[in-house]
Amino acid sequence: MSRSLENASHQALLAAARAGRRDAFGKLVEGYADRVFRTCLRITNDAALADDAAQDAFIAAHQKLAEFRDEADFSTWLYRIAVNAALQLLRHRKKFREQTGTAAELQIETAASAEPSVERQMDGLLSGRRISLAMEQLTALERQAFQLRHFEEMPIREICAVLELKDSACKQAIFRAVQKLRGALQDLEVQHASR
Amino acid sequence: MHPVDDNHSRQEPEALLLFHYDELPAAEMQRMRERLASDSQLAAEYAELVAFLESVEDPHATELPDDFYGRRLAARVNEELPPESHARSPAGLDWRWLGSGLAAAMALVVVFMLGRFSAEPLVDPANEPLLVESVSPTGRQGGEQDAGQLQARLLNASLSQHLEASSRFLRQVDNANPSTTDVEAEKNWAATLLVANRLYRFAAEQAGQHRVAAVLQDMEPVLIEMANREGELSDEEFSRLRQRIQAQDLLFKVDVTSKAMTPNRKRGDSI
Repeated sequence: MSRSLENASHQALLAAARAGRRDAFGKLVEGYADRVFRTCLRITNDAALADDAAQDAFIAAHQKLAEFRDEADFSTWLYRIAVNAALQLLRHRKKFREQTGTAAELQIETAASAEPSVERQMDGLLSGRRISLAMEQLTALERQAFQLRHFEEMPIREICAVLELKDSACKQAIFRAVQKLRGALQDLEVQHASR
Repeated sequence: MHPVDDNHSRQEPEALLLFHYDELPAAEMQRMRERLASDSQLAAEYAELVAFLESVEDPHATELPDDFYGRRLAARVNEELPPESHARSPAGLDWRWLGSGLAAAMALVVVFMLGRFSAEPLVDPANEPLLVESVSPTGRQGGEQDAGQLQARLLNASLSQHLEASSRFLRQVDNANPSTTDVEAEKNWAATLLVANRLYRFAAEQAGQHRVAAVLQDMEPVLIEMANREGELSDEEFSRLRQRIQAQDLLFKVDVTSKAMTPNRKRGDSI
């Protein structure tokens, strides 16, 4: 479908949802579910929490549809609601960060003592776990801004709107995240190699 | 080290990062390309950065949703929402019509209503309210009057939706940035609204809603100009459109008319 047709269809869908059509809102949910979930995942670092946050986000969005201003970008508006929903959940739910960290380190030790072929197969998992550990070195803002830019490929101007940051603060957060990740991953590589 | 050079060297890693993400202004992107082509040390530093960033795998790659996640989530969200408070359009208009052809859907509704209207206006033009009363002040008075009131409700409901959509279009044009506006999308939207607008204007005139018809007529030049647009719009042409919208106070008229026609709105309610 051409971009212009997509825009026209989206506008019509949004108009129907704002007019109270529940099936139209349902189609919006289906269309944005993946991106909203992934945005929440970048905030919560936990898939189950992200799923709950995504649900909360869409419920909140439905309640606030009347407040949505046409001059704003709908996706940015929605992702900002999603970020707030995820942050809200984090504030209210128990976060087992220490337990997660211990489990991750255990997996790395286990992998190091395994057969070489198994160890090669676990490279992907190890890499992901190392990155998760390294991410823990970042502030929440640095982690969120970096993940939204690097993995979600969200433009910085949109990240600024979603996280309610100034342009300079957002760029600084991403830059600091990259610097810290480079340092943290280097340290983890050294630790892993020495075992 | 010279303070300026020191400051410059501190900013360079950040500039390289923004260059990688294509987040520098166009002129700076070009300057950085030229510098990378001529400065081998800078190029090596950039290559190292790119290699690092490409090695950073998504720690949540295995947790990303499957293809049916959207449907499951939509079902769960729907269960949590309060019951729908708005009745579906009595004409049975399915929202999917809006996506595939707003004009065609509206035309069906309007043709349905036009076929039911008598030649007599439903209200006295001299005392024409914007919103045709859905219930006679003295209550039910017989089948013919009830049918006329039902027709009026149908027209009001559909007109209200059309006016809301038109208001959003006008607001978008009024606030548009010529350099970033998708003119093709605006053109398609205007064309769809224009067809519906003409049908609704005819229906409103037939129903004796002359004030509503006048507002719809005021909108048409803007819709026509955008719908017939060939190619891009210059800043001057956008400015002319905005002036036309503002000179006629179009947004205000459309918004007031739309709110006054919202179904179930009680007379005397504030806008």
